[in-house]
Amino acid sequence: MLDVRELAFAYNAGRPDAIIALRGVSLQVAPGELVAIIGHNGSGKSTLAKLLNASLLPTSGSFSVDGVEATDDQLWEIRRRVGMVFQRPDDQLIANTVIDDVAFGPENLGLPREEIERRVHESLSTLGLADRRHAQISELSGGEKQRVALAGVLAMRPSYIILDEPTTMIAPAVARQVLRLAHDLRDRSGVALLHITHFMHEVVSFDRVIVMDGGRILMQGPPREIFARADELRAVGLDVPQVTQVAQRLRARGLPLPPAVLTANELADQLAPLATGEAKETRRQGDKETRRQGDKETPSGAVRLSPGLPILEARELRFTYMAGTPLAEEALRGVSCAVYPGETLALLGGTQAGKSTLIEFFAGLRVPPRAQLFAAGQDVAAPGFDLDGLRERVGIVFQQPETQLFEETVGLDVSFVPRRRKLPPAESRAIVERVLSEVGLDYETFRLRYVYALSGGQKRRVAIAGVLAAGPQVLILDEPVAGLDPRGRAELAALVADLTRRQGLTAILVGNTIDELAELADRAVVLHQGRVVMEGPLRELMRRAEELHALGLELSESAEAALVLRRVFPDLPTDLLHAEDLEAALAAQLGLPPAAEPGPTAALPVDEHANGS
Amino acid sequence: MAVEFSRNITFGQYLDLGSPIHRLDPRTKIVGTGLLMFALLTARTFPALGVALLSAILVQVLARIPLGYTLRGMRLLFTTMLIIFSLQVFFFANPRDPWWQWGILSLSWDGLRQGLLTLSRVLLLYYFTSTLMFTTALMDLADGMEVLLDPLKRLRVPVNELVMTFVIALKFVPLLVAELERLIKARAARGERFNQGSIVERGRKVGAVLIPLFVNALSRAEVLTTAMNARCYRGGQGRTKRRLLRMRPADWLALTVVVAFVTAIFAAGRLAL
Repeated sequence: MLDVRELAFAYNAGRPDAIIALRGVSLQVAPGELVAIIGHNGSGKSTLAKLLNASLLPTSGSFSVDGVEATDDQLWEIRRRVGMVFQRPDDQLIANTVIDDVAFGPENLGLPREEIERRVHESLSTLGLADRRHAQISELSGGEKQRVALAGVLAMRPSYIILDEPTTMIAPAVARQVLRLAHDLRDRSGVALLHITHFMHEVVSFDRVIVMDGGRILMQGPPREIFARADELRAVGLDVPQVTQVAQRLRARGLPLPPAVLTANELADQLAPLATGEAKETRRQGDKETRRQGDKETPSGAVRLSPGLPILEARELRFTYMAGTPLAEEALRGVSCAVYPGETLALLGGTQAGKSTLIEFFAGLRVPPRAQLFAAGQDVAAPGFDLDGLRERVGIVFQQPETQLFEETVGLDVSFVPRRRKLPPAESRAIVERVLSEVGLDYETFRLRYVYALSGGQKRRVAIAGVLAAGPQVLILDEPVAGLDPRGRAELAALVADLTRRQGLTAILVGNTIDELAELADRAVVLHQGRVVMEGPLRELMRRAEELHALGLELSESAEAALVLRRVFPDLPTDLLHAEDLEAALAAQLGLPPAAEPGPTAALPVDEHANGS
Repeated sequence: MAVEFSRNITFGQYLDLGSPIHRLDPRTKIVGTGLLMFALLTARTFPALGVALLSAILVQVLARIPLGYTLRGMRLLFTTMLIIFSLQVFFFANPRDPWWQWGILSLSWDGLRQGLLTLSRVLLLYYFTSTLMFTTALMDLADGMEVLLDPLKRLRVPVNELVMTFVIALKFVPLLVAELERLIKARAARGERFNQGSIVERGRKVGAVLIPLFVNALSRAEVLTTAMNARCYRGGQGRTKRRLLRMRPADWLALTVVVAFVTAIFAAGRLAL
């Protein structure tokens, strides 16, 4: 039993700048229990994790692990019993091969060699890493690294494993696999899990969900109970999974559904008895309607394919990393695609698709051989081409831009380009003021703030402002919402929508998920292993959901659910982005009258943009 | 401007090629490298360096590392050494019958000989160390070092801690290189031109990148410390090892060959030239 009594913690405790992170938390975790701790950034969940692993010492309160009191002389015992997997895979792996890293913990425990061997092999095979055991850590994917981290903890035979947001830095599909493996551990070795996350859909399969807010436990209970309290969750910046949301909406429209449906499978079971008889009649009609909707969108997307000269165009673009070394890696194998002025393009693809490499070419940071890359019709590699001019016209915000801010204060960082151009101070100030307000930050409040003291979401805004200050015509955003909590994601997506729509910028949005960002795009290009494999309006591509899946793309939650629901409704469409879309599609299938108050439809931003350009 | 430092910074990179050299016990490789380096430091004649070069060629062939890769890694060092070489040649003090002289500048066989000797010695030293890294996995290297340094523990030298520090420092090299690449790209994307301006100006531009690099490195180090603590690392005391180092016949053979080469280098050094 993990017994926590009134645990409290403050950073810089006793000093005037103390920050209270945890305000008296009490909880018990039974051996073998699967507990999910959820809350948005700053709710105290990560602090709690560090305390339970004795990485931090509490300001007040106490806890014990299976009867061992967490006192100063028992720290190592506590750490052995409570293992921890951290957020960033690169920062927690110590050795440089898989097997050595997994052995690190057991070696520290001073176990005999044979015992270390046994545990290492056991852990590796449990996590499906047996044939990767001699691989270099540096050549592993993010998901594999997290599995190694988990194996390393498991080899110490802890009774409790804390997963501290281990899924924020890896693709959702891989995250699910890691979580499934973690679940299996309980069945195999009886270890209890404390999974810390801000993704609601991850907690469905846990025994108990603890919701934290402001350093306290807000509510706890089985997921079904917690999800039924959707309004309370929304009040603290959390949301229920889209399937649950859809079920709740259908329930509000009079369908006999339980207050909380957790998975698409469950929803399918619940809806199966309703999808018979007379409903079928109207379903045909609804079907036609959806199809008509789809037809409407196709031409609007195609229109933007034709106009004028592409602002950027790749023709059979090829590139290999570490060329001429034993570590050579082909990233682009003949990519052909074009970006037209004024459009918003979604550049989608799974890992290793070549997205990040392609945009570096677009931004003028790499120069290809002749006749492979054109900017406004001009060959980028031609002698005399104005590369600096290209870099000025194309602004790029890299992945995790918060790690790429290089000045001390917000004002200095954002004014980097105006200062470099030696603009007069007044003009420079005006630019900084304008771009900061464009990204939703107040000039006077943020001008002198230290960059390192900002929150993750604020840093991203500053990074975007810094790029906007150069006055680009094309804005490239590489996975701008990755690693943020749901609240941060929604805010940033709204910001990007605003920028692309209002400013008339040409935008390239790079990602691996069909999410709130991808839907801003007029057109999508899907890359796979260095080639363009699909191209067209997003909704049109989404009808080929299975193909997208096979390419390693993450579908929207609704489309994902629709694939499962096809078991009951074989011709349910998959071009669904929001809970509202899925609700409408299901209502059509069930023959319900259209909702009295339709939610915002996804087509809206696209249309508005079309009018503007 | 293609920013791809990792392509040119090869030091500390391990290449898993499974050659006979790769399969040797790390202790053999460390001792062998040490002996060859010692012999190089004492070698002051061309025949001695010639023998050393022969041993390097033998290693290169056996280790199966592509020659281009090895040479690319030496490019930066080579450029630096060329500058030192020319200084040594032109500023050689009191040359015997110089070919050309102007004030303290001169060109003579003595100077040229001194310059060539230094140049080839430094390049060979670097070659042996980097090949040790190419062919030995980091943890093997660490374990080998720890065993070899074991006697120092009696003098209360914290051997395990030192070796662990070394391991982590090396582990961070590629991560920091990647980070530097990202930072430079982020600046280049905002119009910074790193290959323009005076030397002072360029230095300032690079310096500006180093500050965030260090800040990021520090925060990484902090997380790593927590992660190591969480896995119960508390120094070398009471720590055991998974790997068992074992000397095989091939190791003894390799050591014999190294000793033969070292003796040959010494012997060749006695030849006057």
